[in-house]
Amino acid sequence: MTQPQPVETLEADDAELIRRSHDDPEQFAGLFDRYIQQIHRYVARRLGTQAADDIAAETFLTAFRRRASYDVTQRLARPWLYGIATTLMARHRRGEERFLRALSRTGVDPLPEPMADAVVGRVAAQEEDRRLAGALAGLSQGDRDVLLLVAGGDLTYEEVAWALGVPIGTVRSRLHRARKKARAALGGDDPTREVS
Amino acid sequence: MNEIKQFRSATPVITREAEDAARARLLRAMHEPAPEPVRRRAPRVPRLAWRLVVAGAAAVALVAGLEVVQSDGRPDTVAVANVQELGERAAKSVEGDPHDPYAAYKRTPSPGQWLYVKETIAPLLNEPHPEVDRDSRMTRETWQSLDGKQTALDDGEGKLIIEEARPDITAADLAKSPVTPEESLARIEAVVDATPASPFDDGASRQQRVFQAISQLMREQALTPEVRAALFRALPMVEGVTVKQDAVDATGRHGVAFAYTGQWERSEIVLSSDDYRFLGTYREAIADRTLETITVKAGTPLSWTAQLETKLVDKPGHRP
Repeated sequence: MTQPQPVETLEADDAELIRRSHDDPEQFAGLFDRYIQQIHRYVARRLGTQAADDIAAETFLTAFRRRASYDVTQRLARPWLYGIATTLMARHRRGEERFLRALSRTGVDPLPEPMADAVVGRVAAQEEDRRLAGALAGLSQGDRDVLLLVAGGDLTYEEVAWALGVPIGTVRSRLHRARKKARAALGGDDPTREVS
Repeated sequence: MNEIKQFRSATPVITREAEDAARARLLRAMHEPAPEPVRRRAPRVPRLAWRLVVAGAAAVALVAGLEVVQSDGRPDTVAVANVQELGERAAKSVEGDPHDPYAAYKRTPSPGQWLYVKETIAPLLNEPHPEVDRDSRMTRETWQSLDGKQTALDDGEGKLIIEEARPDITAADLAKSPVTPEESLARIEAVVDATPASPFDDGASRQQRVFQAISQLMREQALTPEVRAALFRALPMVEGVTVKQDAVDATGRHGVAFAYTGQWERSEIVLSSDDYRFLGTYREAIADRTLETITVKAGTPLSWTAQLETKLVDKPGHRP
């Protein structure tokens, strides 16, 4: 076999990168390259791209400075980074709620549009986004964080608990409450149901 | 919770520049001898304080609303015989009025100009319930760029937010020659057909969605008199659209309306019975419906608006 090994098998997992970065700080850039897009997207969906540019950058700076306290038994650093981003977003809470309420009231999404996305899809989502925005604005910060980390960030309950530093029971109860409110905002409707 | 996954799913990805800048910041931090001092955070405003601000604004709006509701002048006019007649009269009125407030839009819109739209609306009674509060009013001011691409609105704290707008169809789309009722309707139908029904269309028919699109255009866009007349003539061509002799807008002005009655709700486009100018819109549930935790009773108002003023201005945030 003369073929080089696939790169993936040579790559260290997140915990290993962080461990190495204690002596060789530049190793931490590997973590940045793995997650910058996901973290940016998560923040952008909540606060808009402009704020996301700043907060995503700050997330990795903060993570870098706190790397000594990282629990290296956690192989994947993704929840840790989402947790830091969520904490950094807390001070923008008013901005987020203001945007959500503006969207809810007027149907105008303050988030910028992608340059050349399917216009059709965006138009269809408008009314849905509008109602959901109203519900999200009405949630407490903690409930909204949990809901958006699970549904928008694809984290497991365990990962959310770790990310936010709360017990898993708290994650469950917050999620239950947030879902109930969001479902009510959607008219309690099952979007897949056929109306003849 | 697929809806949440879809929420703002069109959010753009990070730009190359932003990613490079963020990476550069991280690399700089790596080479700093000591960690940067932690940036001081802005003091967090207690949630209660924010709620009080909102409540205060609502109270002001409520008082203003009660004042305007008092003005109940029912014009003394002849009822229109049918929806075709309403369409024709409204169209003729637009075409023949030398003082038409929309005459300004005959010229090619200057890209820098904006349409200021001031409305009175009934606010939602209790989010996320779809019912609006019949007994209170709030003022909604928006600025629409004449190219249809941007909308500006006050964020409720005196700060103007300018956003990319995403209308289904713009005034400019409809102003392209030929401007006829048939052609205008065909263009709107094409957009409706190309747009997958959202879950919130609640099984709305194609006709209902076309009606809603026209309603939205009349509320928010700078339509040329030609387009406005074409839309008035197009409405009777939409199957199921009827005339409602006595309709009321959100400020209590009585008029005559184009109405569409769907399976769950009735929508109205209210016109003045004097000069057939657009007054506002109304939507109401027409059947009881229980959706999981929320029951919407027949007769529940779902939306109620009144257009107070539309005017071309040079900048968003400018009031005439």
